[in-house]
Amino acid sequence: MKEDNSQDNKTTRKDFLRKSLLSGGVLASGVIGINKLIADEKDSGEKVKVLTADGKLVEVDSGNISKCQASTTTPSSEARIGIPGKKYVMVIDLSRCKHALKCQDACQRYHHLSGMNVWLKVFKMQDSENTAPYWLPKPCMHCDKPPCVKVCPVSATYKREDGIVLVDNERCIGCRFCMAACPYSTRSFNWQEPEFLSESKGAVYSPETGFPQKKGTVEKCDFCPDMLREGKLPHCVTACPNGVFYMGDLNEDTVSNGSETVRFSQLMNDKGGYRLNEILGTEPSVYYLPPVSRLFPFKDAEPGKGKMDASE
Amino acid sequence: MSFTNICTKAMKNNLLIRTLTGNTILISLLVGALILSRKEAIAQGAKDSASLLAGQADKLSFTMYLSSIVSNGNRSVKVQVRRKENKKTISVVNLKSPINLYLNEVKENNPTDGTGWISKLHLNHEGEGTFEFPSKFNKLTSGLHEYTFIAKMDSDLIYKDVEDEITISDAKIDIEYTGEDSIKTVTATLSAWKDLAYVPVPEIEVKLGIKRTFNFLPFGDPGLSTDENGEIFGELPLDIPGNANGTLTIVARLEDDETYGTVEATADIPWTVLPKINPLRGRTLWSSGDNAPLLLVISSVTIIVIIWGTIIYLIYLLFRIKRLSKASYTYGQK
Amino acid sequence: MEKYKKELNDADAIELLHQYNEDLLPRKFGIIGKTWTLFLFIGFLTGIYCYTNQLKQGLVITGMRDFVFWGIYISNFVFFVAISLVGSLITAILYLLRISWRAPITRLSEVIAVAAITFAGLIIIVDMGRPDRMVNMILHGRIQSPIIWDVMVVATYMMLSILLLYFPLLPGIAFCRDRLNGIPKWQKRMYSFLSLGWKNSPEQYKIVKKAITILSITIIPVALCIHTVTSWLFASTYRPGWDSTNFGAYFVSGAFLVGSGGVIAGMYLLRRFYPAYDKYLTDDHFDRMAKLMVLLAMVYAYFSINEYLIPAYKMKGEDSEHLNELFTGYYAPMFWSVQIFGMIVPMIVLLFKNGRKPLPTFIMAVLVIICAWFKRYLIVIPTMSFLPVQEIPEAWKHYSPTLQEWLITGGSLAGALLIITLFVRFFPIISVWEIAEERGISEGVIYKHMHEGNEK
Repeated sequence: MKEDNSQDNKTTRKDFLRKSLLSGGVLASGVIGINKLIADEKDSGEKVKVLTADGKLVEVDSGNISKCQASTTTPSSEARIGIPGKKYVMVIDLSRCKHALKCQDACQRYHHLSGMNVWLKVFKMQDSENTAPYWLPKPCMHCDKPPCVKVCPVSATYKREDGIVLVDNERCIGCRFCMAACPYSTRSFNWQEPEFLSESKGAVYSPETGFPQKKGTVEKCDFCPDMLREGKLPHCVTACPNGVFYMGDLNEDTVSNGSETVRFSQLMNDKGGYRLNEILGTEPSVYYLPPVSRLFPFKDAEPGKGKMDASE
Repeated sequence: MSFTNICTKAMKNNLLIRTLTGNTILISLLVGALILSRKEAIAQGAKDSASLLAGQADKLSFTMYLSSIVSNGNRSVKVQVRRKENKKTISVVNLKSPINLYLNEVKENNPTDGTGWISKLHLNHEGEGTFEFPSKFNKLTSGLHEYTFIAKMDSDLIYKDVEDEITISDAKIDIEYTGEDSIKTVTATLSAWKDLAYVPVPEIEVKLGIKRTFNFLPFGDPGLSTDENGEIFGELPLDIPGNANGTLTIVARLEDDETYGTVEATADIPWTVLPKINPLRGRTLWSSGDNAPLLLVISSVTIIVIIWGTIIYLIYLLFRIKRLSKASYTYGQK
Repeated sequence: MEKYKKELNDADAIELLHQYNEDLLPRKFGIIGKTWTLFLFIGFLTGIYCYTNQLKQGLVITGMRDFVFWGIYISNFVFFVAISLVGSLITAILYLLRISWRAPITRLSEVIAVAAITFAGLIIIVDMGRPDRMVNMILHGRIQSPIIWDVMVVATYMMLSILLLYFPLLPGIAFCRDRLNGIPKWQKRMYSFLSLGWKNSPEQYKIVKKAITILSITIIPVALCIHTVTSWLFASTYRPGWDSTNFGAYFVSGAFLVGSGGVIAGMYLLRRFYPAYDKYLTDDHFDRMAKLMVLLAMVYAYFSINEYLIPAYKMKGEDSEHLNELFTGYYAPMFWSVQIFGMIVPMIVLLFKNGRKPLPTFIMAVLVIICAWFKRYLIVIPTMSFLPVQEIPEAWKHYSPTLQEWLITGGSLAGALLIITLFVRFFPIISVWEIAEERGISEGVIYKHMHEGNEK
């Protein structure tokens, strides 16, 4: 009897080992195999259009895309408070603007703007017949007395402590009153479902990135607060090849365009800075340096250049 | 009897057949997994050419760039990979195959002096890979004073000849501050290790700046080089706002030198000019709903209370009418 | 009706009362009525269908884009709010002024007001990009925003208008409950429920009269507020054409004008389809309403001149572009037709006695209404299309509403007319007890015999 028992035990143990090895092996290889199968399926699957780092539109296998998400997205409640201690200002040097539109391209790309929504417009200005024409880039002014914030019925657009005016697209009801109130016509509206929705799967919305956009809400230039939080300059500032945009903290009295860093008060003094529509009392945060001692002679834009030249 | 029945019966009855079948299944699955993983390695290289149009089969010409940065005595190594496209040089981002970083020699890591393989670098979304020397490693290699960094992408056959090598000599910058009365000066001294000690380095351009939100604000005369004592002086503007805690952060920086790489030092000096404070907003027309101007709140609430109070009274009158209807009344009575 | 100011003895009064009741009971619709109702239903449902399209695809189905982003939804909203002021004009102002000839038309004007304000509220929701987030206006509302003021005033005015319609209607509902024969059960139940068991007691009448007085006093400032606040949706911006201190008075005077036009149109149509009504909506009523309309047109002309003449004199930079577009540019045909046919022609025609006969008055009223709709269009869209601009597609430069936009707007108009039509179908549109009172029949007779019919 005893022998039988031990024999039985040995068999059961062997059996158990074999079974566990078998099932473990099946499991492991199954997992690896299935993963590879899925990966391979993706490889041979459909192509997806993506933008490369230098603004080209290429086609890539959807399996080769690795999602690159910002490591932290600021939640809406914190986005309302802002970055403490700072007061952001932008200075735009009109004597250097050549209508290269690299700023607009960068802004469109990094904010995944679709349709005809352009946050940073560049206009040809000629104040009167006898004055010279010049190019004027116009972001949102982030006014200190913002008319858009005054009229918003749900506090979807708000002014933060650091001077930035943001839009919370999860609260906006799409009444477009802010668009009517803005004297700089700087806001745009999502009339339909935004195009790059497929890229936004898994992305967490934050008013600081403004991505993914929501249908039926208003959006505008936001001074790239996600970059500012990391101590980096906004995309238009770094993209401009002629150093037109300066960005800085008014409390520190310093602005920088990436390569030059100067004192803000000195820049205003030396070059006679001013603001647009000063008389309306909106107190914008964007200063302009008049187009004197131009870097480039004024040339009309080639037709077809610029996002907005396409007719619908 | 059907085929399945035979099989199952055989399976149930025969332990040997079961074992054989199980083993065969296991082996075949493992083999299959191996084959598929091999496929992935081959596909790996193809994934790296993601930024080319589908159909283009050119060999990719990558070049690697190494740089060394010392910041307040902490060393780090940065690598960038670039490639040529249509005569333009652009950074490569999101390279799947890793870059191996070696110190002095390309071999396994030597734990006694830290030479050999030191890190695997991956490029981030800006096209840069950084390795910061952890403090233990700093101590380990502190005796070297001359570093040769080699970066290779040798885990992949395609990229085995993409590499770069730089040799950096140890250097440091010291900052001193004198602030008497109306003149505040900063002195930065650049010294490099020679033989057995740090020796001042003359005739090298060192930049002085004040640390700001973006980059740093240069001060003093521009384009100065160190004198024979390795020193450079800069006079601070008296009215520049400092940090909120009463200090000013000074930066002295030797940028992209061939021998020393980038060497940087920062110092916090006491400063009396404080930055402006953002004013408290209080009740304005552009505040949030609960911070509305008091006059507006009071007047609107008053009007609403009066009018809706009237409406509620009128609805009450309707109920009165209904109650009167319930009371008995016939036509003809007054 | 003043001609009959002689005292009535009780017997005659009772017979007159019975006559009123006989004539003014709501009747079943004939073929015309049924067709009209069906037509309105189809229009309304088409609007609803297009709106579901809009909910699915977004506001892209309209002709609005980033440049002109307020279109005919908003101008239609302003139009509805304008018409809804007629309730306070006829029912409240004329009541407080003890103008007795208002008695037959008071309920009609109040129904028009209720229908208009309801659809004003609905069309503004149609214009929202995210109506699913409407509750945010309560949860996160900002008292500093003119839209919040508008929402509050519209809600308040709607409540007041409904009450001002309901209180005087109680005796009428009770009469329908008691005297209408051959009606389906649900209709009878509706009357019983709505009549609050009305028993014609003097106390009940007293309450009703008190309520009407309170309401009349309350509704006048609210009515002025509602259109002033609506005008502030535009006047609180910096845009040329809207940046005007005159807007409140300008809008309110225009509202009274179009409201009076609406009532006259309603009067004429009622007479046309209910021939017995010309005893109550007499030529004299048309004459007086026409005179009222002339007065209102003159007031409106005054504010219009203020609105356009002085900015045209100054020709400030921004204003000059806008005014040139209106006077001689793209919008010139619409602008001048609206001023001439909507204001000047009615004013002149109605100055003549023959012009104040029912038919010409009706035609003038219709002209006023149509031109008023286009006037609101001219208030909203030209300022939005403020040229010069750059870098926008050619298609954006001039706004033209799409078909679906028209259908939704038409649907809202159909819905408002539907409310009025259904009301006329089920409730007495002329207030019997009020015209009896105005006629001089004593209260006692009214109380006792209000609910009797001509027992034949």
